[in-house]
Amino acid sequence: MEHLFQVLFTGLSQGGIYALVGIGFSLVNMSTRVLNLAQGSYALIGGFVFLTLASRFGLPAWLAMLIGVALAAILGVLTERIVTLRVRPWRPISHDMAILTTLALVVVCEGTAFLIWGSDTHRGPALQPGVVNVFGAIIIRQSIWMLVATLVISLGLQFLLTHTWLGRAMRACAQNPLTASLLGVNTRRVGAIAFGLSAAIGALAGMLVSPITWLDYQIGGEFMLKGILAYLLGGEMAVAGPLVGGLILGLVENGFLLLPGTVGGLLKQVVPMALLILVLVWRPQGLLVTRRQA
Amino acid sequence: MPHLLTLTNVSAAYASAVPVIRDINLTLDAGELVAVLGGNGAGKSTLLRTLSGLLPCLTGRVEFAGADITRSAPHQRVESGLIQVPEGRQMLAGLSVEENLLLGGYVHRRHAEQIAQGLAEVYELFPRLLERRSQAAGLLSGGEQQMVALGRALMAKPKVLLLDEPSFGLAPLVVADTFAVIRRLREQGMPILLIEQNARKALDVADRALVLRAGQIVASGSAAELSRSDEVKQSYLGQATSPI
Repeated sequence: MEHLFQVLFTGLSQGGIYALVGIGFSLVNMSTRVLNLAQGSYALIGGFVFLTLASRFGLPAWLAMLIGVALAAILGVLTERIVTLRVRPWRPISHDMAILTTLALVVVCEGTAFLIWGSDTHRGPALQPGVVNVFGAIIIRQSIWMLVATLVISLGLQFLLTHTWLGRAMRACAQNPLTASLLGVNTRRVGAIAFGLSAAIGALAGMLVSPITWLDYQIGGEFMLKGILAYLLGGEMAVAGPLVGGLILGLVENGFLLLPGTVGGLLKQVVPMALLILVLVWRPQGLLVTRRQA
Repeated sequence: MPHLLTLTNVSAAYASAVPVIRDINLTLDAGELVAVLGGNGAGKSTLLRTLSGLLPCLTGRVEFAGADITRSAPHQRVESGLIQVPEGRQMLAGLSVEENLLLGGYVHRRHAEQIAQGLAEVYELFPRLLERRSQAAGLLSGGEQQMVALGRALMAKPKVLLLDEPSFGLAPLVVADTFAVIRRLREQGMPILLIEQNARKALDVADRALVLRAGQIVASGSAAELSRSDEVKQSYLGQATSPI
């Protein structure tokens, strides 16, 4: 019983991290129709900057986080500027080129991380070290923080999208960017904000998970894959889709540690992918979306 | 006295460098309704896209309210009061009616009381929209969508209203309603540039009109003159000789 609770909670908190990266995918995609593969790289850079500032330079954790998030946001805005460098209202974005550009950025970030931090795995400092005992289950304090951060950010974004002008502008861009610009929305600025915001959220995900999974220079690709999985599983709903997709993904990945004799490993890689294939075949719009939107 | 809106020798093209509209000269003054007539492919919508900054000017100059806006981005033109109602109404289909209207006032977003007042005015003009305020705009009828499109434009407090084929794809009764609204706006002194294929309806409400053919202006004059001209009668009003 304790074991079950422990595994479920670990799954949810892990899944929260996937959800945060997935939300990044969905925010950028809804605002600009670009699949930004560099989404995981912000988690990589943000996480490394955080652990270096906090561990090696001894900065307080909150300050190190703030700097890492700010840097990632700048990196995100830069990504948008690069991708839309030659875009004009009459010369729309080339999606193939945009995807390839962001893929190139993944490689650049990976290479940079290797040059600066080498090939070792690094462990980030926990916000609150130690464990708590809940009904006999051992819960890492950090994973509570991960889950709390996921839920707070999701609720905040949902509020932003439905109750603020920036959110309305983002949803207008998602529906019809041309109409949005005829209503006075600066679509490029909205896109840049979406990139920046997504990068900041991704960086936060990287920092939160760094004490648990540790980071190495290749972790960006891992984050990207899990984020896309969360996004595709949940479906194209700005926040709820990747949130539910990520949590399910985390539960599934950890769920079969409950089966006797299994040790994760290879299955942990294979089962989520198999799940994705099943979803894409039977419910290509994602688990949450009821009908395909035109 | 300078005009409110002036186009001087404007040409524009899509990806191929062949201009779709050529050497367009056009003016619009305060309180005036000018109609641009023409058949399919005459360049009417291209003209409006150029005016709202969705297409670049190859040559020429666009001046609006005393400023040169030839190179301005679309959102900057909207901020300066040049508001377009696009062809086909272009609903933000997944957003509610009220959210569509609110986004019409996007450029005034820092003035909450102005937005609230604009919304009240639109609901007064189109009471039907008040009933449907929380419905998704994509689920409305064509006529209701036209109301949203017009209301959305009015939320921006236009200095000049650009209407792109307001009769497009609408039932005759709805077209009549739409033109009644356009007439009312004109009577309130709203300067309007009306792009329309339905020449009879357009000439009915217009002060002046231009005829566009193959990207060039081939005739212009007062609405009354053009209604009498044989060329317009034959090409656009579907009658050879009898007076209207």
